[in-house]
Amino acid sequence: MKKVLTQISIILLVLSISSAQSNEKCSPDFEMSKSSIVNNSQNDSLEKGEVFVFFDQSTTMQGFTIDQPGQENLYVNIVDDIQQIAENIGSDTIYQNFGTEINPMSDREVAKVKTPKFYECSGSSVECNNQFSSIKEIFSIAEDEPAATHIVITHLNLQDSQLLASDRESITDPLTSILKQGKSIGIIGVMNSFNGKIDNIPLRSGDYTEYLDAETRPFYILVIGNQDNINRIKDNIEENHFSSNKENFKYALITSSPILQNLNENKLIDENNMPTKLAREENFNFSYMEDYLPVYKFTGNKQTKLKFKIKNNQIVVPGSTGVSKFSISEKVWTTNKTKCKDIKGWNEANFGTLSEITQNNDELVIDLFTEKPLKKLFRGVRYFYKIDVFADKPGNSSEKEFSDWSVNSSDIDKFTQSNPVSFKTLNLEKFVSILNAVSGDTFKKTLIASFVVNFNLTK
Amino acid sequence: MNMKHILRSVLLSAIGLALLGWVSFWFTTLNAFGPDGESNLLQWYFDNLVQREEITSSGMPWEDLAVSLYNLLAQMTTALLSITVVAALLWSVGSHFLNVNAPGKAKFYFIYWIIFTGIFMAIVVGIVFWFTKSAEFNAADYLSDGGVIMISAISFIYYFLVYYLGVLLGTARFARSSILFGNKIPVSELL
Amino acid sequence: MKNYIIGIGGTGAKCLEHLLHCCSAGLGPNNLWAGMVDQDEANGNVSRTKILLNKYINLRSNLRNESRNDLTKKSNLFKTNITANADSVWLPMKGANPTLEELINYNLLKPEVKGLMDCLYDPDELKQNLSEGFRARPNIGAAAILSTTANEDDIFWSQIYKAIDAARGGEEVRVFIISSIFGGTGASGFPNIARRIKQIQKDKNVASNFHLGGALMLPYFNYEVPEENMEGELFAKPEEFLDQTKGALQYYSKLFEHEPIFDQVYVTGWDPLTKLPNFKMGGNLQKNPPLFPELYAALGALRFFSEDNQISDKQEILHIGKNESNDILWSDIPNVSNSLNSKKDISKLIRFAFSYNWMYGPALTGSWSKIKKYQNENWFKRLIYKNTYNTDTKACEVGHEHNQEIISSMQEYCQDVLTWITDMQYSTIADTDQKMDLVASDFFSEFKDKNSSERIKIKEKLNETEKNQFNTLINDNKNLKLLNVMSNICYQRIEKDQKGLGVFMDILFRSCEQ
Repeated sequence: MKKVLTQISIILLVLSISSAQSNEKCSPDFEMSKSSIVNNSQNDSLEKGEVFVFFDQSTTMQGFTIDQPGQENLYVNIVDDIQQIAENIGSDTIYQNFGTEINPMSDREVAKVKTPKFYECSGSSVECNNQFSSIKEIFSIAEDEPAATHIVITHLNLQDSQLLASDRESITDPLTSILKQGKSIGIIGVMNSFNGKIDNIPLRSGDYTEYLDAETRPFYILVIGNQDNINRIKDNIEENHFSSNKENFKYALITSSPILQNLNENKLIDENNMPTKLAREENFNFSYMEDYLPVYKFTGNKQTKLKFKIKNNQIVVPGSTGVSKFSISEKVWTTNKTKCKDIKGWNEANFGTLSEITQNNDELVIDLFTEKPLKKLFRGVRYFYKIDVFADKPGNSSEKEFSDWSVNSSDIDKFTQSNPVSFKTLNLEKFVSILNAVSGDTFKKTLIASFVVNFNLTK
Repeated sequence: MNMKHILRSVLLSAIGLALLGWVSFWFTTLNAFGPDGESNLLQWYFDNLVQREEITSSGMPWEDLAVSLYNLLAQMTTALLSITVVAALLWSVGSHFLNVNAPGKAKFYFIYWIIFTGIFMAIVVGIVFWFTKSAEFNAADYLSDGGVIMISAISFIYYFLVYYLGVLLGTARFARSSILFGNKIPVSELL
Repeated sequence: MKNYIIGIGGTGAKCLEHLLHCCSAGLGPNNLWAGMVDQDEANGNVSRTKILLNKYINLRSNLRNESRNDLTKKSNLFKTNITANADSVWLPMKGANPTLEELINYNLLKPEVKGLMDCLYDPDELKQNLSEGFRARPNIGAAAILSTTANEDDIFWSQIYKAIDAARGGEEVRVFIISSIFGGTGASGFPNIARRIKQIQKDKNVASNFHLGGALMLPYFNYEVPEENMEGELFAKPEEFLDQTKGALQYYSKLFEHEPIFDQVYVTGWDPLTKLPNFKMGGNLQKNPPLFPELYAALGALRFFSEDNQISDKQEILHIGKNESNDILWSDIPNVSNSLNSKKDISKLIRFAFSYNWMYGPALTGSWSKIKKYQNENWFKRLIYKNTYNTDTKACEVGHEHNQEIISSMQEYCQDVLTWITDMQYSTIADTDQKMDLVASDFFSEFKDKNSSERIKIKEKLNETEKNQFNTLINDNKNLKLLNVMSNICYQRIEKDQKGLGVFMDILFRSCEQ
């Protein structure tokens, strides 16, 4: 009998507590916005795909294989590395050469890639004089083989005509498709010794010229595939050859999603994202709502400073174009009861823009209540202020990365006449900008973080 | 000092205070009962005293927020009326102790009255400021700048008038020349 | 009831002076006829009292004028309606240089009568010019008075006859005479005039309703007689006062035993004798200061006249004295009756005199253009403006001549009151071990005892500190300040029927009481 009574009491107690709690409305009702970031690595199957390696066989590439006294020649080693990596990351490695056309290569021919002979032109003089690297073909293949990793080793000198009209579309359309499928393009640039001829240098007159006096010149490894493989290749090259001096190494990642992750997913937001002083405010409490949404709860005053900071490296894929524009979505609910147990309901406020988001080199800062200062709010009112942080537009950091190795067609004439020792790549920046533009078009507004400030003011 | 004369002054002062002071009492009572949804006062407050846009944008119903404003105003008018009554009675009693011991001396105490009244008005301003601008009352946040000015101006003028009527009637007869227009009071055995 | 007072000689005149001030304070009866008897017509004290009497009568008549300025019956200020003959002093022997010889027609007397006269009087005494009094020779005075009193046609004595007629008619009549037991006129006049009055009463068969009282002043002062220029002169010698008194007392003792003339006799004196600074044989230079014992005589008279005083058939002899110490206190001043508190009323009069003389009198003096600066003050509006406003001319007439006369007369009278009390206080204790601090007078007056013509100089103006000493004016532990007076005049109820300046005067008077 006693046991029964005890059990009944416990049940009644639990019911009353839950009933009391159910009457409390410590937070308003709203839909939790969840991240839409697709983890690319999770999308990839565990199976290794094919690796296509394309060697630019144009004559001018020969200069990378001949040593230049006094200059370091990494071309051969890097080609070796790429072959090695390709074998590692792919289930099957297919080597091809390209110039105006793409041709498969036998194993024997692959070995010759490091020799000058590989790059000798065996065609007619007309063909040999009109050589150009048809990069668009490779993008087309990459579009057709989205699961594979495509590695291209080329000088990347592109004529204006290759970046205009239908040729441009031949690059942008497959690239769009590639990026939409969650793939990325890594551009690894290596300033290497050069001892050869740089041809097809456009002159102002409309003719072309060549240059023989360059001692260094960059070559590029374009990697089209998933980010993991791109990073592996890049890391491998960087570690093997540029661990101490990165001056002759450049890297950019063109991706449809430069966003690394959503911070809420793995509960990466904590008290330290807000100023330390906030933790000293009255009744301060930090917790996660529904295991997803961080809530900063406190009793403040009208002088309380609120700045939410996120490190860039937590949200931006390293080497990527980054994000050039962030935005915030704000919602505020109010109630004229400050104590949780007294709150019966919340009202949705219509405050408009309250806060400002800015980005510097290291971090993303959300300065709360800059547009509508705390002093304009009311004491004795509880505010539930939810902020969603979005990346709106990718950045163009990669263009800047390669700008000092790039020369436009309008300047190359003059540049050549200046007898440069280190020869720049024609239209490199333009090419990267086209890739960035495509990545920008494919970019979707992404939620990177959400948090709540639940507060009332006392003075 | 003749207690009879002092008590008479206190009574006359109370009558003077009541002439206009009843309005404050009624207003305080009205506010003490809190907002009534149908009330014109609630709407008037919204239209004239508070930051309408801020309140509207906060999403909270005005009637809910107004409770604390009513409370603020009730307490403020209570404090103001109390200080007014105290000041008027203090002057009325104190006027019997002004050393008006000869003909022509009363008017020199005008400066005393000015100073006393000045202190009283400063206290009135201080009380209004404390209620409407300091951190003591949350409802002060609702008030717009125009609302604060209106409350200040009305309080300043109204409570001065209540005080003035109190001292006009309550000041000792021989000291009436010490207050503004005090000498205009007709001679009567009742006053 | 009809009341009559006769002050005989210089002492009688001085006692009358005290009595007049007491009457102005409200201690007197409703009506009183006053007269003086002195051979020394120009006697300084008699003149002073005569002037004071006229002032009193004029001021009272101006302030109890039903049509203009009326204090009304309820007011105690100048309550007693004092009347007097046009010449309030009766000279027993008229003429420019009267002598006893001429009075008795010595030269026409039979030799045996002449011989009797020679026995009774020295030749000097017969030939003494009596125009300045009887020079402390009551024997001369008695003869003179006996031969000239009771002339019904005499304007002075006709009043006495009328009084006795009134008594016969059923009205109660009280007659009081004051004099010194020593000296000349007083010593001779007191018993003889009293007996004469009694004789008239007897002759008219008036057996009831008529009462006679008297105050007999035993020696209370002395003075030093200068040695030069006094040889051959007849004058009152202070060293003879006590002997004279002794002799007189023996006489009165027998008189009262065998011929009870008086219904009540008040006897008073003073010890030690007050030393007066100046000696004058007579005339207007004999102007002795008011002294405290004279106040006793005046209060005795007022007591006699009081309706509360039930006069029995048996003759009463009353002594008035002070406490045994050397301090003269307010408690040494007896009340006139149970309802008339002498100290209260006299101190009220003094406060009234002070506040009127220095505060309100000057404010009301002058033309309207000067006075109007007070027109907004409550006391002025309530007490002056409203009551002196002429609805025909639509103007306040306080600045008009008829009102200004009253205002200045009152101011003069107030100065007299202040001088009187100050002089009495100073002079009574001068050069003695006695102390009298009834009033604090140092701050508003100066005492110059060498200068007998203006012994007391009342300050014309007082500064603020001096005015603030008002609350210490009367040493009665009542802290009545000028502020209280101002407050009182603003709040005191105005009596019905009071008019004109009577309103203000009465209210100010009433306001000077705590």
